[in-house]
Parts: sequence; C-alpha cells; structure tokens
Amino acid sequence: MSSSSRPLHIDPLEKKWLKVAFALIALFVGVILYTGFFQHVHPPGGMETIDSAALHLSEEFAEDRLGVSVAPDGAIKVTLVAARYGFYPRSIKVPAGRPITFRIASADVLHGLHVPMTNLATMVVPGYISTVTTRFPKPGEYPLLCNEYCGMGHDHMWSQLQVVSQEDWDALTPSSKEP
Amino acid sequence: MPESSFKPLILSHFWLAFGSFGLACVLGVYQVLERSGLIPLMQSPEVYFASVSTHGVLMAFVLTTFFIMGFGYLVATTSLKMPLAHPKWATAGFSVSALGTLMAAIPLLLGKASVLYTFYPPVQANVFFYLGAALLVVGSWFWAVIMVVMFGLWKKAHPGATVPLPMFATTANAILWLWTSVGVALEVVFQLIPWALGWIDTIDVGLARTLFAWTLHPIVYFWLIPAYIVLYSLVPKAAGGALFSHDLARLAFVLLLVFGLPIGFHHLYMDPEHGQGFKMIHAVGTFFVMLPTLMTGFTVIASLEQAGRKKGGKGLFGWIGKLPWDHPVVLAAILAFLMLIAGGFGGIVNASYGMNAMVHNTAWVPGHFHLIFGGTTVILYFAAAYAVWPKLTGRALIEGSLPLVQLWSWFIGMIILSTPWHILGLLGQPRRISSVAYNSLLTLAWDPYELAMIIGGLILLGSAFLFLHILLASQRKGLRIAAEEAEIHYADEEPEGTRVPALLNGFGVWNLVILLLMLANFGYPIAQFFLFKTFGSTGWGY
Amino acid sequence: MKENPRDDRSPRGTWVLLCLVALAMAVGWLFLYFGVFLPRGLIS
Repeated sequence: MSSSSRPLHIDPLEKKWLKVAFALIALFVGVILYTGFFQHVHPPGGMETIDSAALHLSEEFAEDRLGVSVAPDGAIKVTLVAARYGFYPRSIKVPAGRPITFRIASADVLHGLHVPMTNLATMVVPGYISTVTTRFPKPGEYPLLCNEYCGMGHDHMWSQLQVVSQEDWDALTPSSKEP
Repeated sequence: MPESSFKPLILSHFWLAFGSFGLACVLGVYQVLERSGLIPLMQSPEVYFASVSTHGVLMAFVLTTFFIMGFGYLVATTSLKMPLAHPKWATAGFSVSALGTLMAAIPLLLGKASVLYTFYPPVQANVFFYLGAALLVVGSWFWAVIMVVMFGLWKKAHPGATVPLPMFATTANAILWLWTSVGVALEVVFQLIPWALGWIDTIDVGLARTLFAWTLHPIVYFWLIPAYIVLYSLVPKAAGGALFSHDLARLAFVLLLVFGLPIGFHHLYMDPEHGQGFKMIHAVGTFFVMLPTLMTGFTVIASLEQAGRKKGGKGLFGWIGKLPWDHPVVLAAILAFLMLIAGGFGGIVNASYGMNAMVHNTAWVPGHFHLIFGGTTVILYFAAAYAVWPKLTGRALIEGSLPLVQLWSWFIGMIILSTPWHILGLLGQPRRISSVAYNSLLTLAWDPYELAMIIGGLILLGSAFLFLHILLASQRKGLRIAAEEAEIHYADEEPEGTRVPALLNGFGVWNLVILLLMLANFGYPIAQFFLFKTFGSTGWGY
Repeated sequence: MKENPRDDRSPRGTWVLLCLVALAMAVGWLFLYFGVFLPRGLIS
C-alpha cells in the first residue's frame, strides 16, 4: 500500500535555478578546496594533548621556553601560554611577511586568540595544544586579544604584538629577538 | 473538533515563550547600553555577564522551544484535522520544560550561572543551571514523540495518502530535534552535571565542545523549520495565491533534516582537538545545506509572484507592488527574505573554512545570529502568532495597522543593530566583552558603531512591547468571531488522491541516512577522546 | 489586453531577482575571500 514513486514535478525555471544554486555552491567549495590544497589555506587543527594543570612541568611550555625562538634554518616559532588574564609573554616581537608558527596552551580555561586585522586566530582549549601558522603583512603595533569568555577579567585579557619590517628584524642581534 | 480542551495548553506555551522574549529584550537594551560605555556608572562585568547569559538562554532556548512546541501542537491538530494525541503527555512535557526553565532561571538571575548560553566548560555554573537545562530539553522530547505518533496515526488512518505539508514539515522538525538534542544531552548528563555535583573531578573540555557542536548547528534548523512552515503553508494563501511547488517544498524539509545534522564542526574550525580533514568534510556538508534554503527562496517567492500577477502585476517586477503588503503574514515574509539574504550571506562567510579565522569569535558572530535568528526567524514567529491568534482566542486581532508598524519597526531596528555589529567584527572587535579596555589605537574606530547599535536596540524594544501589547489586547478585547472565520488557511494541498514519491511522505529511509552520516562525521571525532589519553579540567569559577 | 498564457505559470521575476542575489553573493564572497581575508596573511 505504499505510494507510487512518481518522479518529482519541477518547474523548468526552478530547474534552472537549481543549476544556479549548485554552481554557487560549487564556486565556494571549489575556491576553498583550491586554496586549501595549493596555498595551504586551512584553519588550525591536529589533535595534540597536554596537561594544562602541569604546564610548568612540560618541556615545551616551561616558563623559560616561552616567547619567540628562531630555528637554525630561520623558521620562527612563538610559544605562548594563555592564562587569566593575558597571553604570556605579554610582549613579543616578530617580523612581517614571514611565516610564523604559534604554539599555544591554556593554563586554566577556554580562551580565544585573535589579532585584529590579521589572520592570527585560534581557540585555546585546556588539555590541547593549538598550532597555527600565519604571516603578518604589515609592520605595526597590534593587540593580541582574547575573544572567548573566560571570566570577569575577560575584557582585560590582552597582550602586545610588535610586527617589525624584515630589515629591522634582520638587523636585530639574536639575543634581542627574545622578549 | 474538540480542540477547546487544548487551546489553553497551546496558549500557555506561547505566553511562556513570548513573555520570556519580552524580558530578554529588556536585558538586551541594558546590554547594548552598558557595552557602549556611554554611562560609566553602568559598567559592571558581573551584571553584564549575568544578563548576557540570561538573555541568551531565554532567546535561544526558552522562546524557541516553547513556541515550537505550541505551534507544533496547533499545526498537527489543525492540518491533520484530528485531536491531540496523548494530551496528558503534552501537559507533562510542558510542565517539565517549564520547571527546568524556572530551575535554570534562578541561578542565572542571581549571577551564579554566568556561563553564557553556550555554557562551555571548564568555567562552571551552579548545578541547578545544568539540571534546569536538562529538564527543558527532556520536556521537549514529549512534544517530539507526540508529533511522530500523530504522523503515524494519520498515515495508518489514510493509507497511501499524502501527509499534509505543514505536518510533514513539523514531523521532520520533531525528528530533527530528537537527533539534534542527543549531543547536548550527553554533554550535560554525563559530563556537566556529575562534574558540577562533584561526583567526577575533571571533564574533557574537547569532548564537551564536540558534543555541544553536534547540537549547535542543527538546533538552528529546529528554530528555522517552523518559520519555513509559515513561508510554505501560510504565506501563499495570505498573498492570495497558491504554493508554487509542493514536491520541492517537501524535498527542502528533507534536505534540511538530513544535511543540517552532520555538520557541526563549522563551529569548531578554530579548535585544536580536531584535524583539518574532518573540518573540511563538515565544511563541504555545510555548503550543501545552502541548497534547501536556496530552493525555499525560489519556491516561496515564485508563489508570491503568481499571487501578484493574479492581481494584475505586469512585467518582470510589477507583481511586487501588487502584493498585499498590508497583510502581516505577507509583510513579515517579505522582510524575512530581505534579512535572509543578508544573514544567509553572513552564514556562508562563517562556513568558509579558513576564512572563518577572519570572523571567529569577533562581533561579526552575534551580528550574524541576531540578523538571521532575531531577524528572519523571529519575524516569522510574529507572523505565525498573528495568523493563529484568532483561532486560539476566538477573537480577531485588534483593529488598525499596529501589526504592520510592529513588523516594520522590528525589521528596521534589526538592520540598525546588526549592520554595525558585522562591521565591528571585521574590524576585529572580540565578542563577549563587557567593555572596551584595550589600550590600543585600533579600538578607537569602534565607538561610532556601538552608539548606532543603541538606536537599533531601542527600536527593537519598542517593537517587542508592541508585539506583546497586540497579542494581549486582542486576546482580551478583540472582536469575538465565529469558529469558521478563525480557521487557519494553509496553502491548498494537491488534489485528493494525488500521490507524492514515498521518499517525500515518510522518514524511515532518511533516519537511516542520518545515522550513517552521523557515524561518518562524528564517529571517529568522538571516539578519539576515548582512544587516546586526554587531560581533563577541574571546575573553574569566574 | 492579451495575457501571455505563460505569464501565469513561469516566475520570471523570481528567476531574475534570485539570479541577481546569487551574483551579488558570489561577488561579495570573492571580494571578502581574496580582498580582505587572504591579504591579512595566509593561515594554516
């Protein structure tokens, strides 16, 4: 006693619209897949765990390991701890135009990290290490803001990011690159 | 129709929904004022975050759930022309949800549950907040089951017949809600409540966020589907026309149900506990779910075009002017579509994988959901209330153009509120701050937008009070009308005996498809928390 | 005056309107993606 399975009735003009709709969707998905595969445009990701209650005992996030570090091949890494109410160290200096990898862990609750007018953005979830790589196009003084509710002091949770030009960065001696 | 026995139940749902809405609007105006920093005496993070938490819970969970339940009972009984099945369960469900609401409201208003409507751990609320939230959800399950039961009873009594579209959609929504609410129910029952009670010391915050994300996307379709029922089933006749395509209407609801569920990771793009592979899969799924909305736009606007042409509209766009803009349901639909285009576009930006970094947790996000939910969806809830009020109260709406004023002011207020909000997001302003305290030149650009938003908020408050006034005055003083005059005019169904494809008349196959998609998209991402060693968090105060 | 019988059934106005909306969305999205988002710095 099931209903007969007749084909769908679709008006010809609506059929054309469905093709337009598919094309629109294909445009967005296509650009995202293209820039994802060929320019490595992705949001941060990758499951790496850490005990947020014992950060000071970890190798990577021990206090004397925090801040900007430059590998022998020139790769720049910034290691930060997010904790109520700041990103530590509170002031960091990096060059413009170069890829910089940020490694961040929370010492307490959920935080969000964002530098306005740039694409440095990530959540910081207790128990997990956040990794995000980006470039800063323009030198300047930027605030590093927390954008996830983390308590009554959330309004005040911010740190300073100084982006210097490539020439200024190269002129800096190794020791003055640390905070 | 012995409906008079359950009209009071339905009215109770609506008054609880709209009363909560009114209170939440007052809180909203307080918030936009406090945020602007215009009145230094008002500054207080404690009061602000308690208000935002209460406002969010009332708007996102209380207004919606009770409206949807009440509207669902009404649509079921009137479109199927049968009495409410298991009315005692319906009353029980209402009571459980109402009790839950009260239980959560007390700590919220006392500032002991300032965890916002997303209640992400490890910031911890008073346990009664979580218990109340759980009860609110459990009460709604009674409704969902009754909808599915009535769907089945009608099909049994009318073998092979086509289920009326409003009920097909309502049942899809009930099934959607049952699937959707499992995520947050697991989080609340197995993590948050035991943790808040002290039975377990730590919970995995990554797992909690993942379970919440399961619910967080499809819940917006739970809210949206009743608005789409207004568009498909009430707007065509109100405009003096007919529904342009019945088949595509059914298909749209099926696609919302099936593709709205397995895509929650677009809320977790910036999170570290999931890989880019699954995020990309959810992103592609999220773009697919644009399709039923694009279909809805065409079908409903085409229905309006036909109605306008019947009234003499000529040329490409003459029909627009010929539509009855003075009919509240038609006006609400037109304004809803305008907000759907802008709000839908914002949603597409949010969904865009890497580009989410530009907007995540900025002011863009509340700008977006106020426009798409507070605007598109809620204005259609207003239309639904105006359409069914005579049926529920036995009285006509009060005379005059007040409903039109109310709808226009809601639209204008929402545009003025949400446009600066989106811009602030692109300028990088974080969400969920109670004041601007950064000592940075970048923030100076933000002030004029905040001031503009106050105007939007005030207009919305006036509109909200006007809405409540219209409903109350009509219920008490509207002209009494005969039952036939108060009937709800659903769009005509296709002629008796017309059959639709079986896949558009039932949900058995679709439930299986959903199960497979959920396993594929959430199976491993949830399992990983149990396969690998993770570190949990204890409760933190705020 | 003679009504084109196709007027009744074919929603040409809707078609044109929605094509314009689709075009606006495509242009707006491309502008945001390539004109605002990517210039702020590649992210991965």
